[in-house]
Amino acid sequence: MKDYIGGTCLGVKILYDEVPPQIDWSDPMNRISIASGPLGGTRIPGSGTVSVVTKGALTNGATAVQSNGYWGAFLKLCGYDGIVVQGAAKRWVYLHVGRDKMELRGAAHLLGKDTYETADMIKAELGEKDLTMSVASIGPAGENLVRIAGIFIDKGHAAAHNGPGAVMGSKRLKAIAVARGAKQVTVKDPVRLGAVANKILEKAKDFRGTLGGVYGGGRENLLKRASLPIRNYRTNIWDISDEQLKKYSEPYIRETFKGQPHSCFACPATHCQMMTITEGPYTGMEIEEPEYEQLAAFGPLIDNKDMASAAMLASLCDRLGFENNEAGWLYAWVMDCYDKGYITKDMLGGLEMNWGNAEATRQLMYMTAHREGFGNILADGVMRASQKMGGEAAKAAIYTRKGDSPRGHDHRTIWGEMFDTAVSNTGTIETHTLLEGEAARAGDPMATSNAVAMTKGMMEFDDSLGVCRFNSGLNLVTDAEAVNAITGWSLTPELCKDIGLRGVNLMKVYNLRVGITREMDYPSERYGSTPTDGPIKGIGIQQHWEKMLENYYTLMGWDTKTSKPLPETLRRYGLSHIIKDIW
Amino acid sequence: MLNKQIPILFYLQSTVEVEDLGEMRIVGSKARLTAAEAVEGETTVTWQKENPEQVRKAAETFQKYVFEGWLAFSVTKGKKAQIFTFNKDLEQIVLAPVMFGG
Repeated sequence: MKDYIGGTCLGVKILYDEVPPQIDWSDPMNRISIASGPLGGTRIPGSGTVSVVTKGALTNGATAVQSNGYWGAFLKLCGYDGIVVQGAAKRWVYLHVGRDKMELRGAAHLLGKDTYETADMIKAELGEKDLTMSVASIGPAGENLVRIAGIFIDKGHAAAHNGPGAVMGSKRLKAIAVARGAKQVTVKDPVRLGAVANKILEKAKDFRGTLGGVYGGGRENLLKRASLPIRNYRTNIWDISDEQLKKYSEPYIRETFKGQPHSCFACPATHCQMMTITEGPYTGMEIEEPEYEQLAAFGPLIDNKDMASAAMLASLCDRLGFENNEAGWLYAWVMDCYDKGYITKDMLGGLEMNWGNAEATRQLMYMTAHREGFGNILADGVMRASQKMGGEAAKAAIYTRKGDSPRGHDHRTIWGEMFDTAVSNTGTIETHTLLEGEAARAGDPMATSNAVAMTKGMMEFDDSLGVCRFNSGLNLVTDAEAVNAITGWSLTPELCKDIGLRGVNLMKVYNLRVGITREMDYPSERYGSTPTDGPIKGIGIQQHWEKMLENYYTLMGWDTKTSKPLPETLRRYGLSHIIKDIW
Repeated sequence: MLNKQIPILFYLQSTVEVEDLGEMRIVGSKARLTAAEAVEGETTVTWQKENPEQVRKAAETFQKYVFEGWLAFSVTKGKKAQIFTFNKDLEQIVLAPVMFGG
């Protein structure tokens, strides 16, 4: 366990050892590992987090994504660190993890239900409530093997990049419901743990979440940074009135939609609230507080200036079970193509997908989740849908060549995130680190690839602990202290990073064996395009990409021609036994 | 807890061409989502390797930031690497906050 800890790294180990690289993601031999880690269920703030690892539906390679909530902590309190799902059921089922037993129960009555309804129905039939049971479920999107489907926990917490919900659907597993167990997590040194927990708590209570991201510091900040994704990267300038923009701000949303706390396990932060839309045509809809990426996806990205309908689409995404970033790129691409005439009203069954049309997007979401009409094409994600359309439509889609799409920014102004997304093994970012002055937002290719390489491994370790990143702060010093207090080990931050890098290299080798080669460490044409207006106009990354890759591979200890981890690199991380798998 | 003013730039390093002088540069950011780790004040700390008081002060500053979750990078002959422990013999150390959001 010391070599892989839990969560992400342990899941990757299971993936490597048990899932043959040549199988398809929907093969029953695929595994879904949903695991907490040593910090899970303790007094460390935000320790209800789990990491989901599987062979993903978009890239067919490794996936490692996290969700917060209560699920991980409740599982630990039942006496388990994680669950590994293998095979496939003959009929739809859900797994009930009770306080003293586990059972598979029929789920036919839950089919077609969204993730909110599924959680409520399961709790009702088992006689449980929100604080006594946590439910991880898929919506109709996962049931219908939509490749951008995620797994949703406690209404709105998503482990979703790279299609883990589709994998769960392929196993005919609608949900895993975990009761709040009565066991206690064994802690070697409670006093030491208390000290580090208080330290984390002190910092985490100031975290207010990411609700205000679209509004940010207001128009000046938004225009200055130019990192909002607008009209599918057609522009870096959002033509929106001050009054409309202000509605995307945290004070307006929380005051108008009257948020009620919906915190995760042991979390002091004030983000995550349940709300009700109180204006416009979707008045009365219960939503979970939309965070930055959701508002970006259904606001500026599709040029929707009406915040209330953006919040509706964000919540519908969670309910139907889509990863919201992937969905945003998908519908923005449809609107872009509709605007240019590549996709027509007839093809869309009469829907008019003009920029900003939230109601048409809402209907197309249902069609996608149920694979109806044009929705069946969209259900395979934006890369495959665009390739199916071909021609100019194919050039307008935003994705990485592995098949996943980025998070909700215009990464042409945040080179670190674009590069990290494109070279990542997991189907989403792997470093989450932007160093101002070190990794320039745009314009400094070597600083960018240096920063991505230098910070690799931190996130993989942090995601192996069973704790929310907004609490841990990716701080390996306090991470190590907390693990040592619980286990009695003597981890150092340096060792923590090495454990994370072991996971990175294991995933890299796995993906190479899947067929995800160096040629796939690139952005699509539109994703890597050069901005045509705004403050970064004319500053493009594509011309630097090859040198950035060479520098990155060198710093990672990987072969610059093939991107294979070198034998000495694998030996350094205790992976000598897999050298023969690629050399 | 460091104070909560929005920072400008931060560093710990050694720009002076004297072999026994180290410098630490602390790089902040206005784009942070939390203000908890933000700092202000001096942006550069330098130390003479043979001056125990300066080395102690630099080590304390380093420790304070790293414990608060900042990232530390050594810079040696233009090459950077992440570090977690202060080393008085390094030419330059850069400290920068982690940035992330949802």
